[in-house]
Amino acid sequence: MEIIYSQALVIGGGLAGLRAAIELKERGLDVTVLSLVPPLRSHSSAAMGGVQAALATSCMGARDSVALHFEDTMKGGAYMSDPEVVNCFCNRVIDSVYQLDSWGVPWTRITAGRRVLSDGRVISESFESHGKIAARNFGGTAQWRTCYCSDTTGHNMMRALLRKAAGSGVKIIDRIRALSLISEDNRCYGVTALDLRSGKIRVFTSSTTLIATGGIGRIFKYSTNGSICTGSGQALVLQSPGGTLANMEAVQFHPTALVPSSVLVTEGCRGDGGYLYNSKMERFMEKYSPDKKELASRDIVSRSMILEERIGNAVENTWGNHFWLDIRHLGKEHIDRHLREVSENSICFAGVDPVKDLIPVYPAQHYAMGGIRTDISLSAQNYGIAGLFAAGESACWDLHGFNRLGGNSLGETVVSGELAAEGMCENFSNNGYTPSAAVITKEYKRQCERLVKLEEKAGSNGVTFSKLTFDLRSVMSRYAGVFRNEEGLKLAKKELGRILEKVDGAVVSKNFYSMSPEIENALECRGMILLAMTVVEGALARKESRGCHNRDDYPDMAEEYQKRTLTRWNNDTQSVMIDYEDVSLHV
Amino acid sequence: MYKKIKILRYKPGSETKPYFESYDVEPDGDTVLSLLQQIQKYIDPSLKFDYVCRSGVCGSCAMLINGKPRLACRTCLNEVKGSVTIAPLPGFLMLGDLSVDTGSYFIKIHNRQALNVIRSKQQEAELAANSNYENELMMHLYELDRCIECGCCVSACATVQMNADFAGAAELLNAWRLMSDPRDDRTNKDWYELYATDNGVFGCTALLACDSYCPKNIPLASSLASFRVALLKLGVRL
Ligand SMILES: Cc1cc2nc3c(=O)[nH]c(=O)nc-3n(C[C@H](O)[C@H](O)[C@H](O)COP(=O)(O)OP(=O)(O)OC[C@H]3O[C@@H](n4cnc5c(N)ncnc54)[C@H](O)[C@@H]3O)c2cc1C
Ligand code: SF4
Ligand code: SF4
Ligand code: FES
Repeated sequence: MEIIYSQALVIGGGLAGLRAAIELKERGLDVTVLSLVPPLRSHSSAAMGGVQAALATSCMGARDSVALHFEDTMKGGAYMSDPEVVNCFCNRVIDSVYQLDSWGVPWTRITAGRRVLSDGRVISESFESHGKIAARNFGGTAQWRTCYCSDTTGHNMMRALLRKAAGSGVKIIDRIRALSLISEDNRCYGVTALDLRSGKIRVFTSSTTLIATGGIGRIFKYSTNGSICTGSGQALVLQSPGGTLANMEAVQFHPTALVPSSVLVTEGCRGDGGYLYNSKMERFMEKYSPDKKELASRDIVSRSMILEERIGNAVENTWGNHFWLDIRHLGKEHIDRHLREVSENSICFAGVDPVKDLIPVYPAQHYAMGGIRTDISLSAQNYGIAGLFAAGESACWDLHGFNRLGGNSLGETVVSGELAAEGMCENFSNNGYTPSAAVITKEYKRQCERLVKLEEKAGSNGVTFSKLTFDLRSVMSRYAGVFRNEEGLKLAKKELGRILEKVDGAVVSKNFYSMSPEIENALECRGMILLAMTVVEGALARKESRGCHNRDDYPDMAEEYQKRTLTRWNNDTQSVMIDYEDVSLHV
Repeated sequence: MYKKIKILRYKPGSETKPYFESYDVEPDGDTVLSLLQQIQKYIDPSLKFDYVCRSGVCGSCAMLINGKPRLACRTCLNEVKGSVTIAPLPGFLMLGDLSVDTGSYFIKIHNRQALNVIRSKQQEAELAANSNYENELMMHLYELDRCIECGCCVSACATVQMNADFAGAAELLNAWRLMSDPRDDRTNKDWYELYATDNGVFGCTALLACDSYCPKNIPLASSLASFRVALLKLGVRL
């Protein structure tokens, strides 16, 4: 057993992980980043829209301020966010955008002069603003506040951070999967990991550790998230003694995911004037949101679609029900210039050409507001595990409350990454590194034994991990989707319990080799089930509708639930324990 | 309609040499990636290939499809008539079946180009405070920054295959992108020393296979030409 020690260990090479690693390195710590995939492949690269930051540069954002950004975020989150966090974020994200600029992000700029918007309005950018970072309009904001790089903002941010990380001398190890936390007496000392190049278990110890492993989308059958977004970091924490997750039931669904692949069709389609139709070719949003129609917020459009489906107005198809998105009237030129990705994806995945055809869409899981519970310094110390931090989508320091504002999570990755690194530096100087060798060896052996057991049983009769994963995803999309109710959630709970009982006896196919995707899935299957259980239990216990959590049987918001849900895993009873924490309303 | 598909199988560290295996699949999706997913799901769950975004933005799924370097998630089945043969992208370390180590290749590029340029926080703040650039310039940089590091251009390039030390299109593109950026601290001299060489711009035979195979349609031909001209001009002055 080889032990690799780093002063600071970062799990995840997405935007949050890289931003933290750069800061740690620049503050003098030796840091190692472990990533499942080469960093640029992280799902951050798929983010298109942009970053909310109140730069107040554009004439359409001239009255913008930190206070307005604060208000939009609090309101969007159904007043469940931590106001102190929101305030800190709204201030810091402005500096972050400028810092990213100095690191080479090609932000779209303002060009002075008059411009006609797609709705016919005419705006005029001033001479002084010429050349400053531009902002675009996004749902749910009072001012134009979303800074962007054409339609690949996440990609460009990733490129800049990757170059910066290389320049700072950050050590990145890719193709490696963290499997478990090494911890003793509720303090984390690093992780065990499966090396996907050698198929061997490796041990990485550290004085301070960050989890930045992204979202949980892939515990749902239908999700816009990439294939590696399975919530594996959250699952590591949940399975470690004391580990606490928060607001796991708060899951955002995006109304326009392609059917059947669930690839995201950007909000830009509706922003630019696209229509949504039901099976009778009615613009059904006129009914549900007479003012904003298609431009209503994500959760309202998603809900409206499900309600339409319930009265039999969804288009039926062998792949599943869907609605139509129509952008034909925007014209070929506009689509080719501004919505190129939409065009390519529609042709490739749905066989339709948006210039002349309708696009089939249906809501799909998009973002997890919940995650590893931390305080405002991104530390999990007060939530069960010392020496552990979390940042980005995998964390819940509670910026988003019960609904994330579009464009707030890219900003969150860099702000929370930087803040976490500050906290980790402090943590490093305050804490000696003293895990007992026995603890490390025990965890290492446990993981090795899991692999041996999989190999011994490979090819024998029994339910496979891929079947269990498939079942789990179906249960989640069916019962823990846009609308939830007691009956469905209880069924889901029962089903997940059944799947959990089977997981210890599950097998892999005879063609065993330890760096195959099948083994990765086998090793993380249990964690995915437990994560799913926290979502279902949280949703079941929350007898109200709030933000993106909609209960058919409790359609109204209830004051008694103005609380943050905390979930832990009880290994003795093999069940999820729920607790609540008060949320404050003022800074 | 069943589709015949031949895949190169390879288990690193095992005795067996790479071999082709054939499958008959009834497609339930529209892309080559979906065929592979189907094989993984129903026939052989151990089949190894890389994908994350399934929408042409993460650069994971480049492979040789009927002899051409392409993204599996961006290759529609109706473009590949008849049977399909799939092999890993050549020119990179093989990690098992269709998975290759493009990650290490590209990290090395970033490390080579890093040049230990370290700015103080104050310099950074000054740069940020003076953030004023023409949108045209930013859009130009944006265009050159679209590379998803998939490796298609590298495996299409005959020069790389003959001379492993030749920089390759993606590296030269990235150098040109940084050199064109006024916010970047690396100097013209740095770029000259790194790439005005036979393994840099002068090694490129300008046959432009790279340009034809870039799945993001990045203008590699014109970018490489501009970079070469810029370095030549510098050579005269330096
Ligand atoms: C299609 C799409 C579009 C979006 N558009 C926007 C937008 O316009 N604006 C906005 O603000 N937000 C957007 N979001 C949300 C935003 O992109 C994400 O929340 C954010 O990028 C997450 O970044 P991250 O660094 O936390 O995680 P990720 O980028 O997902 O990175 C996770 C990292 O962890 C690694 N990892 C995972 N598990 C392990 C493990 N077990 N061991 C080792 N490494 C591991 C992975 O390799 C990866 O490097 C979008 C999301 C989607 C799905
Ligand atoms: S032009 Fe030819 S030699 Fe030059 S990088 Fe492209 S493929 Fe290689
Ligand atoms: S330049 Fe094009 S082909 Fe080459 S790695 Fe980048 S995206 Fe791929
Ligand atoms: S899976 Fe991301 S580019 Fe193909």
